Amino acid sequence: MGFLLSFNEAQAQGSSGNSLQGAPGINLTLNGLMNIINGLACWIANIALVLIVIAIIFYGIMFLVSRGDPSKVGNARKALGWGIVGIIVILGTYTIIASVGNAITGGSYSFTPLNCSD
Amino acid sequence: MRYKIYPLFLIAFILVPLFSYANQSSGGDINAFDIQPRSIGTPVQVTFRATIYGGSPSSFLVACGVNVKRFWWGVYEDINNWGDTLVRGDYRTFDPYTYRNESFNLSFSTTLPSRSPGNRTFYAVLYCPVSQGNPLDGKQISRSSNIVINQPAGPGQGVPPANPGADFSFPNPLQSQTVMELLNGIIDLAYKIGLPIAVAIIIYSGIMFLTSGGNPGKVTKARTILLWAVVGLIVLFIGKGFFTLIQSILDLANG
Repeated sequence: MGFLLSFNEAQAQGSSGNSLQGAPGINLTLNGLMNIINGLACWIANIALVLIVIAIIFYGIMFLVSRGDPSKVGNARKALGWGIVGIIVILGTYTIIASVGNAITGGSYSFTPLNCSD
Repeated sequence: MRYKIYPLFLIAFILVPLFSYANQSSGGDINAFDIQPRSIGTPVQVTFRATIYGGSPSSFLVACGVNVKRFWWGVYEDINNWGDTLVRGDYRTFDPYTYRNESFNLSFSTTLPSRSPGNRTFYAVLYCPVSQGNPLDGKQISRSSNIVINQPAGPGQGVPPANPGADFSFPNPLQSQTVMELLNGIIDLAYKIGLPIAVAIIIYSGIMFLTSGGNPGKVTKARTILLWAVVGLIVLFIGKGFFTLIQSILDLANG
């Protein structure tokens, strides 16, 4: 799961009560919540990368099975066009965020891309 | 028989000076420190015996300097967020130039004052004297281990504090010291939670585009998702600057 940023100032304080010391499960801290959200973003990004390949192959098959039928070719071309838009959106996520951040804040935004290595 | 005892003497010759020097390195030691009975608000007997090392080489001289002929003894209470509070203490004279170790019986009886309920920590110290001010600013000779006495909660236990509320304080549960810092922290938190969500939503809209297959309804839906994701991102970025904006407006009012 990913670790996006280090939340030093947002470190959750350990609770003073020890009544749940022996309880099963893990302690959910604010950091843990951040990791869950980051992990979710990483997970959906990985799924998207797999889906890109599947979708491109699927649209290729659409072209193949059209056999020159103009309406089917048109459909396949339209589908591929929007597929490419989707790919641009997926791969350009950070560019979109950086552009918006740059446009709004004039370059003073801070954003570290997801690190999905672990 | 003779040969069996001989090594023991040898060991004693080596070890006894070693240990005595090791003990005397600090200038003095607390031999006993105890509070009996362990109660707050009722008379207690504080046992406090100490040895000052004046023997050759006089480690008290080494620890506290030449021409120092007294030391400070004290029993303190360690109060959270307040510091060390003297229960009782005084200077005692000690002449290091006799070159002899001297034992002191510093025991006394007292009544420990009642404070907020909970575990209360007491300890005894020996210090080199200071010319003026708090003796704890001087050099420490020795410190006993802590004695913890539990003060039970509720009325009827001990004497109520002489001036309730006067020494009332509680630790700041937040890491920020001012309201501005707190607001900044909250905005920062929202920013840091919001950005990964924005990433996820934008990628989700990309997947919608990818799997729409040219279906106008699905494409429109994906486009709407992307549009509002970007609007959300803009709000997120503005939100960070919004705080600075409000701050500057308030500063304008102040001139």
